[in-house]
Amino acid sequence: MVIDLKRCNACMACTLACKAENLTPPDIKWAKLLDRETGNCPKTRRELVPMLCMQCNEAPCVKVCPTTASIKRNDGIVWVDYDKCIGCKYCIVACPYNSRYYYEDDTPYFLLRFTPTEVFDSTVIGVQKKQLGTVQKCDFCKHRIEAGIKEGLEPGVDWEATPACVNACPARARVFGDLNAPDSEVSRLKRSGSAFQLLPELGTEPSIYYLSA
Amino acid sequence: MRYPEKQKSWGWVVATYVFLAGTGGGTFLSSFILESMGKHELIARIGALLGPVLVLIGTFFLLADLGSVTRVYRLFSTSSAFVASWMIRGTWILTIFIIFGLAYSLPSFELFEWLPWSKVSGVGQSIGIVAALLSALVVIYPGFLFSAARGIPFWNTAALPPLFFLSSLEAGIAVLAIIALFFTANFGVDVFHQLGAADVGLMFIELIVLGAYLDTIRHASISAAASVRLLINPLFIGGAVTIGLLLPLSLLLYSVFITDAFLLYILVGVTSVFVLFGGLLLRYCITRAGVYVLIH
Repeated sequence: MVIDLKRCNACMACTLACKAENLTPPDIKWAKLLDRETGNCPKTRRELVPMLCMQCNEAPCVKVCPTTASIKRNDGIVWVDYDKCIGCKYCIVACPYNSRYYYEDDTPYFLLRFTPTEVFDSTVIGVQKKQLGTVQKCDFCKHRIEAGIKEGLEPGVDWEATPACVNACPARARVFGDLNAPDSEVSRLKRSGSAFQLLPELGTEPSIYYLSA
Repeated sequence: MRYPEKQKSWGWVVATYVFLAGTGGGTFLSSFILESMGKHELIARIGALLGPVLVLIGTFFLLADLGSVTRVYRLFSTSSAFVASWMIRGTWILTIFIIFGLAYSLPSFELFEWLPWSKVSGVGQSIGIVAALLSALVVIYPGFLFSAARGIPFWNTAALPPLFFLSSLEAGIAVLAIIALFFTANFGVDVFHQLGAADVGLMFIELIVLGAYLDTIRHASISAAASVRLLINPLFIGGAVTIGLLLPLSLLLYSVFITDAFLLYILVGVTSVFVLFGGLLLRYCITRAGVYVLIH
């Protein structure tokens, strides 16, 4: 994925779309904005950077998982199998991007009763059912991608096969595609001069590139 | 995250597990060394049993921290993760150590004399050597568990394994000293002077390692500096450093000149408790001071 920071205006539509699509628990947001200061004084600027799981190629979370609940799939997505996760939280301290969340509190949004979306059997639409006591994170809407590929759609091009955050962005700041294909739009943008990764010095090789503002 | 963010996943439960595992390993290793030297056999016998028991109690703390304890069997059924994850390596090391450690130490007690091997037999000796090697790994492993966490620069450093290793060995020797206090009729003051000397040496080295670690890492990155700032609080300076290292060091140095047995016993008892208390606090404070890398 490539995110153009010139276009992002921090509207948080991606945060809401992700929540609606993946039915995350109340305090957990898989897509969020990082509020940081950039530049040197006096030209400092407040910058809001959209953050999600970087789906690193050398993922530290995969390396430290003791039960192989976190794996790097062939298509590049780092996925947590909730059935295998024992909730040791080692991956949370290993992830430099704070992209992983421990689900420990199943208090609903509204204290009196659960909303229909909270009791909705998310497995119907293919989203993994959240389990208490496990770790969860963004999976690039794997269920949408897999369902789309099965119907012959192309992720990043066709709406149904693309992650919810990419679809929701009103500024079209997010581009999704295959980084391994040299002529895809993400590869082209990645090669442009203003593309950068977050924390490249840690050797995690994230799959998310940002275009600088 | 406008400012460096503290880690909130691991707390006193993990710190206690790491402390008990390290202390148990250190107790067994020190006991085995004492037995190989042929010294203070009674203390070493009890220490060799207490070591695996402490590690076993520690694993209960680890289980208490898991989100899904019912799936803990997966730690043993997954072989591919062994290649990279220190948590799974530690699980195996601790489990096999508990088995071998108990197998080595139990036959020397009347209740378990029916076991077909004895400590002095060839089988018993081999079990003992394996258990001793494993106990060294048990003492080393918690440092690597923390230092593999790439998200937290304060932990992701080569200084942590030696620090935890030294602290665990000290704690193990302190446990032996406490055991010895129960059998003062059998021993003279020599055993306390020897154990005290070993602890003094280890404490000197640990102070150097700790000082070098904190002074170097606070210049390494913004989040590491934030971690060190968080670490320098009364619990750490008063508890882990003063009560855990400086006071025992001074008291043990002073005890070299003491020949009055009763005073020596009190001093040794107090310093051993201080060392254990300090070891637990050291791990707790380092765990709580973990700050995530700042994304720039």
